[in-house]
Amino acid sequence: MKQWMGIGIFTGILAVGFIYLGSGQTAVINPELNNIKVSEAIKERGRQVAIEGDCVACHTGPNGAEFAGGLHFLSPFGDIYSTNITPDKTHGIGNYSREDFYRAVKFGYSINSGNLYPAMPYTSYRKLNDEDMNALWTYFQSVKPIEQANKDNDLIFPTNIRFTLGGWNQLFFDDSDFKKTVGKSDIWNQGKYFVEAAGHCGECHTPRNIGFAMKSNAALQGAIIEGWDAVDITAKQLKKRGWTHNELIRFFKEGESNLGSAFAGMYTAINHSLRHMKRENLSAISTYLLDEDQHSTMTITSQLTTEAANSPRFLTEDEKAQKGYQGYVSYCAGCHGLDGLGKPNAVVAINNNSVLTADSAYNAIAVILRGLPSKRQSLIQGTVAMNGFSSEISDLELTELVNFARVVWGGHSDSVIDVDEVKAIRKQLDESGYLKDSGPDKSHSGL
Amino acid sequence: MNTVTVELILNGKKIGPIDVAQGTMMIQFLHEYLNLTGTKFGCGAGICHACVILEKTKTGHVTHRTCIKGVGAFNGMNLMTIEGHANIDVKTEALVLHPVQQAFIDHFSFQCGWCTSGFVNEAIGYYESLKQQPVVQSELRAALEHHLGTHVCRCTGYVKYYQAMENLILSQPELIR
Ligand code: FES
Ligand code: FES
Repeated sequence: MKQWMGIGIFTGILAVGFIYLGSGQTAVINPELNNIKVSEAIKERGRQVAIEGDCVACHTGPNGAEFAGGLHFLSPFGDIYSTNITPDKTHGIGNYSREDFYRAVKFGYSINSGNLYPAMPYTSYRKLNDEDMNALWTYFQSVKPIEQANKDNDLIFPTNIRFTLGGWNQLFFDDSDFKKTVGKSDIWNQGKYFVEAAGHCGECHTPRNIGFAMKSNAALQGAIIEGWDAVDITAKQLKKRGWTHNELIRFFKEGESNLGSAFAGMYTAINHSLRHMKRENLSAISTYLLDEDQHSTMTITSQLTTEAANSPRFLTEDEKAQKGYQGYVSYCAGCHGLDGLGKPNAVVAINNNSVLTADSAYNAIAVILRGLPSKRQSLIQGTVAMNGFSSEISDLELTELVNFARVVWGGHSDSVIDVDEVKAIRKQLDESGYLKDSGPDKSHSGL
Repeated sequence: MNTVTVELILNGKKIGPIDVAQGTMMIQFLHEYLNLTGTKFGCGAGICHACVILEKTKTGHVTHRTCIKGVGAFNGMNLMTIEGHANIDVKTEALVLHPVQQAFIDHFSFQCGWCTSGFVNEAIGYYESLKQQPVVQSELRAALEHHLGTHVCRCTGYVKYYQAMENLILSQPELIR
C-alpha cells in the first residue's frame, strides 16, 4: 500500500514538473536584447509587426479602445475574452518586462494571468524573430494605456485550470524557431516567415488534431472554423481555383478579386491587417503561397486570367433549363443577376467565385443558409448584406442549386453533393447557433 | 424562352396558371403582369424592405421581400399586397382602410411614401398576430422595433411610424396583456 502511495506521489510530482516545464514561464530570452536602443525606426517596424500580427482585431472589444481587450470568443470549451494589452499598469501589460512580453507573445505565458489559451496564437508567434519581437515590444510601450479591466473567461472544467496548459504545450507546442527553406528565394522565404509567424494563417487554415493543435503535416489544407470553411490555401489548390500572383495581392489589398470577395474571418484579417501591409510584403506572401519564384511569367498569366474573368459570361438557354437554375432564380438572381454577374460594388459576381470553384461545397451551402453581414472595405468599396435562406429553402432545392452553380460557375465537370450532405451541414450550423439570425423575412405567428 | 408556371392567390383572387418568363422577380410580376404598382422597389438587394408583401399561412403571417425572390418561389401561396387591405363599405360605398393604414395616416407617418407599402404589410402581419397572442404592454416598444426594425425609411426618422402603431395597439385592450 505504502509503495503504491509512493509511486502515486512520485508520478504526481513528475506530472506537475512536466506541466511546469511546458508552461512557458521558464523560457529563456537572449539577454543581449535588453541592450538594444529604442529608435523611431524600430518603433515603426513594431507598428508594422502589430499590423501583420493583426493584434488589434482580437484585442479590441466592440466599439472599444484599441488594444484594450474585451472581444468575446466562443471556444468549444466555453467563453474566452481577449485581454487588455495596452501598457496600463493595473489591467494591461504596464508591469511587463521585455522578458515577460516575450514569454506572453511567443510562449503563451502571461505574468498577469498565467498560461494563455492557444486562442492567442502564440503557437504561430513563436516563429517571430528577435528583431521583430523587439520592435513589437518597443511599439507596445508607446501605445496609449487604457484603464479597462479584463473580463473573466467562462470555461468548463478542466480547461478552466490554466496551469494544465503547460501539459498541452508539452504535447503540442512546436517550440522551434522559424526555418528558412533552402533553395528558395529570399522573397519566397520572407512570405513563408509572414505566413507562419505574424500572419498566423495556419491558425484558421490548418486542420486541428484531437488535442486542438494544428496538424503540422497538413499545414494550410483548410479547416472548418466558426461555421465556415477556412479553405485549403496550399499552392496546388489556390492555383486550381485560378488564383494568380496579382489576383492574390488585389484580394489582400482590397478584399475583392475576380475570384470572389473576402468574408467572415478573412474579411477581418484583410480589413485590420493585410490591406495595411506594404505591397512588396503582400507580393512575398503571394509568392510563397503560390510557390512561384518567377514573377515575370506570372504577371502575364495573371493579366490573361483577369481579362477572361472580366468578360461577362452569359448562361445559355440550355444551362437555364437545368435543374437548379429555377432555385437560383427564386433565391439568388434578384441580387446576383440572372447570369451570376453580380452588381458592381454591391453584390459579388459568382461566376468563377472561389466559393464555387473550391473542392468542398461547404461554404456554398453555408453562405446560402447563413447569409453574410454587409462589408465595407473603404469609403467607396463595399458589399450589401446577403440574406440567409435557411428558413425558406429546402434541403433538396439547396442541393440542386449548389450542384448547378458549381458546374456552371465553379468549373467543376460534375457536382454530386447529395441531400444528406446538405442536411448534415444545416444541422451542424443550426446546432452551433449560426442560423439564428438568418432569414430576416419575418414570421408573425399568432400561435 | 424558358418559362415558369405561376399559380397563387393574391388579395383574395386566384391568379393563374400563367406562364411567366423564367427570370422574373416577384416585384416585376406584380408590376408588369398584374399592373399592381403599389409595391415599391427600393434597394433591389433585400436590404430596405420597401418591397415587402404579406403571406397568409395557417398559423399567421409571413412577410417576403419581392425584389430578391423569383416569382416561382411564391407558387401556391396566399398573398396580400398593399392594394388588398382596404375594403369598400357595402352600404356607403366608401373606402374603409385597414386600421393600420388609418393609424399611419392619422399620425402623418410617411413623407414620400416609398417605404410605406413595406411598412404597412409588415405592420399588418404583426397587428393581426396580436389578436391571437397579445403583447405585454411594457414590452410593446421593443416588440415593435423587433418586428418593424428591418424596414428602412429615408425620410421620416421612424418616430411617427412607431407612434402610430403604439397608439393603435394601446387603444385596443384585447391586443394587450
Ligand atoms: S427593394 Fe426589396 S428589400 Fe429593398
Ligand atoms: S417616407 Fe420616404 S422613405 Fe419612408
